[in-house]
Amino acid sequence: MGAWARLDPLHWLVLRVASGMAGERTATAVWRVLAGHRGIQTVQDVCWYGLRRYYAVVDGTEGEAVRRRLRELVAWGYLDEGGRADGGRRSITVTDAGARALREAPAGAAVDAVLVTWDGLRDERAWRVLYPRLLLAVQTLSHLVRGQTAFVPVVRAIDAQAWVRALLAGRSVAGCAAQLRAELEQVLDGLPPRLADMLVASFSGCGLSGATAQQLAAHAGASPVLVRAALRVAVARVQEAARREPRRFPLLHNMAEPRPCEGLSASAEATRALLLRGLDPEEVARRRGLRLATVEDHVVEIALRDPTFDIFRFLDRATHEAVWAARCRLGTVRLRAIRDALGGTVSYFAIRLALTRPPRARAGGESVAVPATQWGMSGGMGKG
Amino acid sequence: MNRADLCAALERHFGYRAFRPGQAELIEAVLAGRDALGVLATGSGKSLCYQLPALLLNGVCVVVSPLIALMEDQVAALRARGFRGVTALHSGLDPAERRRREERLFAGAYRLVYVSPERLVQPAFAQRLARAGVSLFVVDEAHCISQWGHEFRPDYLRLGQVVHALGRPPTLALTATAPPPVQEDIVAVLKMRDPVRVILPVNRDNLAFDCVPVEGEAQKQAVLAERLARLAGPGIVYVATREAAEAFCTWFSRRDGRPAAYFHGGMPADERARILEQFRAGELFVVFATNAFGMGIDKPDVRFVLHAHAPASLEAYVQEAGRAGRDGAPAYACLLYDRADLALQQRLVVSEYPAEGALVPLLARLRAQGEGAACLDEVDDPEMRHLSAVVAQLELTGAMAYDPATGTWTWQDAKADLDGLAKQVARRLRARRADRLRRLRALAAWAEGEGCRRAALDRYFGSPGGEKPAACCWACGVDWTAYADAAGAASWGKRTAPMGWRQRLAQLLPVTPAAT
Ligand SMILES: [Zn+2]
Repeated sequence: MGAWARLDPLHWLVLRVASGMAGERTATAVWRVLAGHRGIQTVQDVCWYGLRRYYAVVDGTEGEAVRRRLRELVAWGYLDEGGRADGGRRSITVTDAGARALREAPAGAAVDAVLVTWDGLRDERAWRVLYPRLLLAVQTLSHLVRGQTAFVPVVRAIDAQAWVRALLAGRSVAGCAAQLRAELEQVLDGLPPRLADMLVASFSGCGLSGATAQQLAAHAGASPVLVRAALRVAVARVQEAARREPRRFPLLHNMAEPRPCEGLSASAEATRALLLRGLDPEEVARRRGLRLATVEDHVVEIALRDPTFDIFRFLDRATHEAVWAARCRLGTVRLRAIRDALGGTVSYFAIRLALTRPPRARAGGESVAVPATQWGMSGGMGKG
Repeated sequence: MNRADLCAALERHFGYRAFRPGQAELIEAVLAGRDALGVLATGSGKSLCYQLPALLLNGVCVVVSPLIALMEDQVAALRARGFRGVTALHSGLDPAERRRREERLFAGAYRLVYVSPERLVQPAFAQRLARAGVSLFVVDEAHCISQWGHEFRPDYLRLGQVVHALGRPPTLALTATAPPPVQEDIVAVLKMRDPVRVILPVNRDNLAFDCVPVEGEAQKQAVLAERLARLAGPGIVYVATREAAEAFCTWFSRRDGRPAAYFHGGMPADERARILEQFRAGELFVVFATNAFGMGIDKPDVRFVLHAHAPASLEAYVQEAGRAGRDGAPAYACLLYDRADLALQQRLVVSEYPAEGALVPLLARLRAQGEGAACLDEVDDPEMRHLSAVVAQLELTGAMAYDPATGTWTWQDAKADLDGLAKQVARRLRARRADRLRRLRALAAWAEGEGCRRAALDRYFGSPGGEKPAACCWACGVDWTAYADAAGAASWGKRTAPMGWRQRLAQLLPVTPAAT
C-alpha cells in the first residue's frame, strides 16, 4: 500500500493518458482524449499513442474535475508540467513516482476492468447518438403506451427528438414499444447483468425516474466516473450487437445508424466518397471549394479511422519506410523531429499519412521494433 | 376584450380559473397595442403574460430569451400542455433543423417563437420576420439589457433596433428583478412608448425570510443539520461552489437516509436532466446545488430554500429564495450568514476577471487566431478561463463579433491597436468587477442591517410594499419550527435498492414483447 491509494479513477485516467503521450503533449491534449474531442489532432493522438481505450470516457462538462485532478497530480509529484511540446506549449510528463503509482494504484485495475472492451474511436458514437435516442424512445413510448402525451423529455438533443418523431410516424405505439422491449431484452441478455441493470436503471419512463451515475455509484459503492464509463461500455455493447445482427435487431440497428466509416464528420465523409471515386486531393479541394490542407486533414482522418483505406495512392512506399525508420530511431511521433531527421524534404502530410500505417511484418515473422504499447489498434494493450 | 372574456380564455387555454397578480394588467395592455414593462417575481407566471396573448393575437409572438436551455424548456413545457404552434430558434440547432423551423415560421406555422438575440439582430432574418407579421415582441429576462443589471448581455443592447426593424409591434419587457435604474435602462434601450408598468413586490407574503449568523464550518453544519432534520421538504440548499455541492450532499447522505442529490454545471447534461426530473416528481427531499439549479425548475411546492453560502448579490438571493413556495403555501428561506463566505464570493468574483497584464497577450492570441470558440476546455491555460468575459467586452468595443449561445467569435479589425484596446477592455472589466462587488456589499448590508428586512428588499428593488405577513423576516421574528414536517422525516422513506433490469424494463414498457 502506498500513497497512490489516494488516486481515484479520474486521477488514474489522467495519469494513464499523460503517460501514453510520452511527455510530448499538453494537458489540453490529455483532456481532449478523455473528453472525446473529434478534431484531427486528437484522433491522431489517440491512434499514434495507442489510447483508444481511454478516448471519450469522460463527459465534456467535467473539465473542472479533470483540471482539479491535474493540479493534484502535479502537487503530488506524479506529473511534471515543465516540458515543451511542439509549438512551445507546456507539455506534461509522468514522473518516476507517477509511473509507479500508475502501475500499482488499485484504481487502475478497476478502470481497465470496466473499459476492457471499449474502443473509443469505434464506440464513442454509441454514447453520443444511440444513447440519447434510446433514452428518449423508451421515455416516449413508456408514456404513450399509457395514453400519456404530456411529459418533459429527459433528452433535449434535437437529433434524438427528430429520430423518435420519425420512428413513431405512421407506426402503432404498442407495436413500437413491444418491438423495442423485445430487442432490448434479447440484447441485454448478452450483457453482464450488472451492466444491464445499470443501463436500464438510467432509463426514465412514465412514473419512473432514471437514476444518475452518482446514485448508481452510491448504490454500488463505486465511483461515478467508473459508472459513467460502464454505462458507455453497455451502450457500446448494444450498438455492437445491433450492427452485427440487423435482422434480429431492426429497430436498434436503425437507432445505431451505422456509417460507412465510423466517426467521420459529414464533410470528411463527402471527401471520402470523392476519393473512393478516384479523385485526388487537389481535385477534391477544387470541387468542394475547400483548402487543400483541409482535404489533407480529411485524408489522414479517413486513414486513421478506416484500416482498409489505401494510403499508398497518396504516398510512395520508400517515404513510408523512411518515416517509420526515423520514427523508430527517434522514439517519438513529433512531426517536426521526424521531418528534420529526414532532411526537411518530406511534407507533414506525407509524415502524418505514413504514421497511420505501421510497417508490415517482414518475411519470416520478424517484425519492426515498434513498442507494443504504441499500437493499440484493437484497443487492447498492457499498462504502461 | 373585457376581463371576463380574458378569464374565459385563460381557463380554456390553460385551465386556470384566475389570473395571478399583475398578469391581467400586462395582458390587457399588450392586447390594446401598448408597450408594457413587468417586474414580476420568479414563479409568478411571467410567461403566461405573453403565452395567452400569443394565442389571441394574429401573427407570431416573438420572445427573446438569453438561454438556449431556457427556450427549449419553455417549448417542451408548452408542448407538454398540448400547445403545438411553438418553436425555438437558436445557434444550438444544426443548420438543417434551423432552416426547417425558419421556413415553417415564415410560412405562418407558429404562433409563438423563442429566438436568441444573435439570430434576431441579423437584418435579413428580422425583415422576413416582419413580413410574416409580428403580433407581439417580448424581451424575457429584460434586466440583461442594462449595464447595471447583474447579468448584462451585450447582444441585448441591439434589441432597440430590432423592435424598429420588426415594424414596432407592441413590446413587452419582463424580468424578475430590476431595481429602478435598471427599469429605466430597459425602457430607454427598447425605446418603449409610455409603457404600462406593473411592478410587483419582489417577495411573496407566504415566504418567510430568516437569517442565522454563523462563524466557521462547524457552526454552519450544526445549524444546517438542525434545519434539515426538521423542515418539511422538498427543499433546496444553495452553495457557492461545485465541490461544496458534492461535499454537502455526501455529508447529508451519511447522516440521513432521505433521498438527496447534488446539482451543478460540471455534471453531464443527461444527469442534470434526471435530477430535475426526480425533483419535479417529488422524489428528492433536498438538492444541494450551485446557482446552476434554477432555470427550468418549475416546481410550485418547494418548501424551503437554505443558503449555506451567501450568493453573489441581493438580486441572486431573492431569485433563489423565491423558488420556495410558489404554490402560495407557507415556505421558509434562510441565509446562513458567515462573513468568511463573503470573502469567498469576493474571490470568486475577482477570479472571473483576468489580471490586466495578461490582457495584451490574450488579445494578441485572439487576433492571430481570427476566429474560434470561447470554450473552457483549455485546461492548461489559466488565461483561457477569462476568455468569455474578455470576449464579451471586446464585442462592446466593436473589436469582435461574439455569439454567446455558441461561444464563437470573429475578430473584426486585423489592424486594431492592441495596447489601446487592452486599456479599454481593462477599464470596462474594472467597472464590471466594481459593480459586482457593490452588489455583494448590498447583500451584506441587507443581511447585517436592522429593521424589517422585507421592507428593505422592497426599498432596494423599488417595488411597492405589500401587507406585512405574520411570518415576515428575522428582524420582525420568524419561528422556523413552524415549518417543521408534521409527519416527521419518516414520510420520505429511504431510497430502495434498484430493481433488476428485466423487471424495470417491463414496468417502463408494459406491453407484450413482440416475437422476433
Ligand atoms: Zn419584517
